[in-house]
Amino acid sequence: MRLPREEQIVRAVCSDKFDRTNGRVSPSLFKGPNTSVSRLTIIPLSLQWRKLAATVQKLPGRKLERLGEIGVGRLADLGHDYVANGTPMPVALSVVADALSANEAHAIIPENISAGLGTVIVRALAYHELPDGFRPELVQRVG
Amino acid sequence: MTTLAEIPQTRGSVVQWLAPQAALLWTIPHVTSWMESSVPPELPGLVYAKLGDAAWQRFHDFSRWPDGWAGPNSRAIAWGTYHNFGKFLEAARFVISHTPPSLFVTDDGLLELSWEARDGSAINVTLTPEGATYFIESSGEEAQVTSEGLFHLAERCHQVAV
Repeated sequence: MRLPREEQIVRAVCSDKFDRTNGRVSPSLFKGPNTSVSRLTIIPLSLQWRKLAATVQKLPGRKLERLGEIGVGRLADLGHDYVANGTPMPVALSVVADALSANEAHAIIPENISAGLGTVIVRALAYHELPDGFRPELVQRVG
Repeated sequence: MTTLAEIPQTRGSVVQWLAPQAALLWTIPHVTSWMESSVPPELPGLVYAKLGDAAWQRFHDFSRWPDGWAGPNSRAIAWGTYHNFGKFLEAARFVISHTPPSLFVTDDGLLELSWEARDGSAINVTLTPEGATYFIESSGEEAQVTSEGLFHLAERCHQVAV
């Protein structure tokens, strides 16, 4: 099921894709096909932290650092309007529901995303920092 | 035991950023004790000299992550990727007045460098076992090179950055 443009999604930003010292997020946060995201209509932002920390922190060294939020419509617009070196290179981006036992809000962006388009998307995200008192390293892993 | 405090401070020297060969005269003792054996022994020192302590610490972490670190399809960093990362770093010149490049690892075990040109546009190089893929935002270039092309790619990135 394709998600409507009005839905908001978040992408977990872990330590491998976020350089806190220099303040950069990796363009490969959105690169390639089947990018995993999580739906805020199914699980609100306040509860996404624990859910995502439990599923993305496969190793003790990989830590959930932030969440990047974007609307499905905004994402589609970025793909539609993408221009590389002055040449329009539109990509029809969509978000498809893909509920998992470990995360019922899971969804994917099935289309292949280039490094250039990934850079544009990463810049457009609204970033949420870890809530006060939340320690992702203490969340028990699942999946 | 090796600690960060034992590492010479190279980032403060303009000479070492612009002529980094000088920074390679020192080594980090016993570096392989905490890294995967596939890491070339000279590579951690090169990472520190060219990218600074934050990237060195991240490299330390990433090099210890096994297959499956981000899920069933994720991979550890391959020997060929380390080799090409070192080859690119040897040739790379980064400008000291800019924020040092950030080091990331992709889910499939590739090492990614990301930084900005003077105009703020993005430069992104992802080292692979075969060579590298790259994205230069100012020109819209998105392509790949073989291992033999890494020197020229490093030069190209420098020309774009300054």
